[in-house]
Amino acid sequence: MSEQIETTLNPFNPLDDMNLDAAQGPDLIMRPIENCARFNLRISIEQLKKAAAAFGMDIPDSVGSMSSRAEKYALCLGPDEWLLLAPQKSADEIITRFAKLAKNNSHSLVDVSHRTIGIEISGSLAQLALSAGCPLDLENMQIGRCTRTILDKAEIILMKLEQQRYRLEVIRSFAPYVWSFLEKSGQDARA
Amino acid sequence: MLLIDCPYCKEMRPEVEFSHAGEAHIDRPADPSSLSDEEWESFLFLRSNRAGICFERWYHIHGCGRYFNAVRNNVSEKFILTYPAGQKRPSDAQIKGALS
Ligand SMILES: [Zn+2]
Repeated sequence: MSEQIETTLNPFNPLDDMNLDAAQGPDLIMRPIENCARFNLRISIEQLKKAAAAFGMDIPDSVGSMSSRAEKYALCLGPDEWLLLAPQKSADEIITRFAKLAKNNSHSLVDVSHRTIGIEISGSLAQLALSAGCPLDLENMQIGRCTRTILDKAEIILMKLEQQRYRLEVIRSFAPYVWSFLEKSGQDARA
Repeated sequence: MLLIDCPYCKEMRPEVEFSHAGEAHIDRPADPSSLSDEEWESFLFLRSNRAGICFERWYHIHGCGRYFNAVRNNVSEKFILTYPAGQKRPSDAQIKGALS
């Protein structure tokens, strides 16, 4: 019985069953991002400084901007909505600090660590591969900007890390589809 | 592709990120139980359905996740103005100004 429970609780990554090397080359590098803690934060903008203190770094207040420090990211997705990314090992501490903050400052911090799969895509074809399905003007998107948007039929969160390096957060059941889509559009861009 | 100016993102964003959400500026009655059946029906179902300039709610569902209002010409499909939810309906003069 206990053996069965262990099997059931094994973390499952939908990309594990796929051949991830199919379309890779020096011009297109895709990799799944190792597990990390993810939090959805809703708080009023007046209290944002207190949330930043709890998270341990600056949290930007304008929609579409992103800050990062030591493997932590804070993304402003909407006027009162943020996505916080942090290394898995710091998850408990973050939860404890926000729980303390909740005593006097109402907010909501939801652990969404396993809602999405992170994918990093880089190389000279990265932008072309993304643009096959994303309607945003990626060429002119500034480095350090982030947003929720669409990639073909899937909703994604897109972070521009460098001119040709992006990170995507994809709802886990869409991850194989998004991965294959980028692989295909990368191949098309190469041809 | 049609671009829509989201008042929360403060950017022109592609149409596919948005979803239409019905007529704008319809207030829920303060005391629903005091309404007659006809008045309640009117609140729930009856809309102005004008051809031309209309006030609509839009939802930036695959973006900032916010509802906002728009003045739009539903014959030409042109967005004239967008503004945050809760803000007053723009005046005729403001709409004229945005059109010129
Ligand atoms: Zn928006």
